Amino acid sequence: MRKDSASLGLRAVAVAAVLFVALPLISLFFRAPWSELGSIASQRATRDALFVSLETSVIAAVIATLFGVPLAWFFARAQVKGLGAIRTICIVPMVLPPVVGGIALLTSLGRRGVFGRFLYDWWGISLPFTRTAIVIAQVFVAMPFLVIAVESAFRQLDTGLEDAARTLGASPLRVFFGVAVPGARGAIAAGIALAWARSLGEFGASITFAGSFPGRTQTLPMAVYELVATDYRSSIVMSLILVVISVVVLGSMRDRWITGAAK
Amino acid sequence: MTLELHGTVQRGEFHREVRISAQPGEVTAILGVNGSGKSTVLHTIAGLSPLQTGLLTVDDVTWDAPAESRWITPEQRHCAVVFQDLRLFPHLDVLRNITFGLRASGIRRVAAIARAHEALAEVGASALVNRKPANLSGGERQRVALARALVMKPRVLLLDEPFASVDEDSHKAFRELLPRIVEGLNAITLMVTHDETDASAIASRQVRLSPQELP
Repeated sequence: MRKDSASLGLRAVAVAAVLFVALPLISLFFRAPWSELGSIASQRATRDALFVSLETSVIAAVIATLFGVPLAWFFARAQVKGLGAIRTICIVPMVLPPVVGGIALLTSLGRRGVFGRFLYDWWGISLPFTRTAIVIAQVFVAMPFLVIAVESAFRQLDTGLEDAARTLGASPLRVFFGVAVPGARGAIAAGIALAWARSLGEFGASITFAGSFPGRTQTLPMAVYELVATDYRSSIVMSLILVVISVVVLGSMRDRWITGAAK
Repeated sequence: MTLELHGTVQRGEFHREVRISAQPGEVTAILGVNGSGKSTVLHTIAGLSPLQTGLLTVDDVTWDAPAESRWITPEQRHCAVVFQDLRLFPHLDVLRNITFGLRASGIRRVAAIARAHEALAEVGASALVNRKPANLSGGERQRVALARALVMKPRVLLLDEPFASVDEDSHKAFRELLPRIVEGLNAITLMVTHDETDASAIASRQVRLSPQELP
């Protein structure tokens, strides 16, 4: 009897939590200008922003994967002094306010930045306010999510399999690609999806480092933000597009991948 | 042309003195109760656990000599291990488990597959090629693990409790199979076991490790 009433209380809390998350999302669908949906979704500004968003977030996810998976392996297996400190630095962007990340990128890679100065003086490369800047900002913010997910999977792998591979003549590189990466493939897939979704939604760091120029650096989240005051209906439609993409990503990840990451 | 090991191996916080000398074409059994450091000796020879003091040479090549800071990596030792827990790669089918080492040693795919089929036939596991380790019985897994080691044609073959995961029937079959295979291989074979009967049935020499004494 007591057990039942306890679970009833928990259920009530759970229902409240679900409503808290679901109601705002559902409200978007209620307020959507369905009759104008097609015309708003196909208007130039929307298409441009969507294209910039998709292009930059896919490139960012690829780069985050190429660098993040080996980095996660390094964190999981390397025995180096000060590894904890290095790891903390690499994970910080995850908890940093994104706008601060944007400022940090400007101070390092801006035209007068600590390193950007040399890029500009020596090769004439100016990164801020370009699409490349968007990608850099997205990788900066999104890679830690992938690294954390993949690192924990690498840590839980059976090192006995890696030892077995080495006795069979596998170089450390082959152990990584032949045993570790396949062993963590569920977590890697989940990490990629997470990094991509986070890149797609990136706003603070990107707008600070790359600005919001329609057709050039304006991503969908930036367009939503700018239109909220002037063209509320368009911003709802764009938001809906982002919601649908996010749900599709999460749905395609499925429980299998998420539990695979925890395994 | 022998394996010579003497020195101290480390197992957790314990150190243990060992002295082993083994010849090609014969099986040396390493006997001892649980916790006497039998597996550690194999891991030391395979390069997974370094010698603390002493010397390990195979065919007059030094594999491990802490005093000279000499240590050959596991992947460079011509040494194959059948681990007690087998350690088959769960994401690869039987064929790819067996070609893994050959491919890592730079052997071309077609040649590797041909050799894998030979090795599987030798251990009587030809029917298992496309199965995943998870779908095999204990005895089948043991055969695959043995084939994965044999296919490398190692100078040193290390068997850690090779009958641990097989049932009674397979046990008998294995006891007959192993000597035949070892003979064909002409490798230096070390077999860890706690079973006196297995040791005397298969091995021509025996090394006995006493229970772990406290340091």
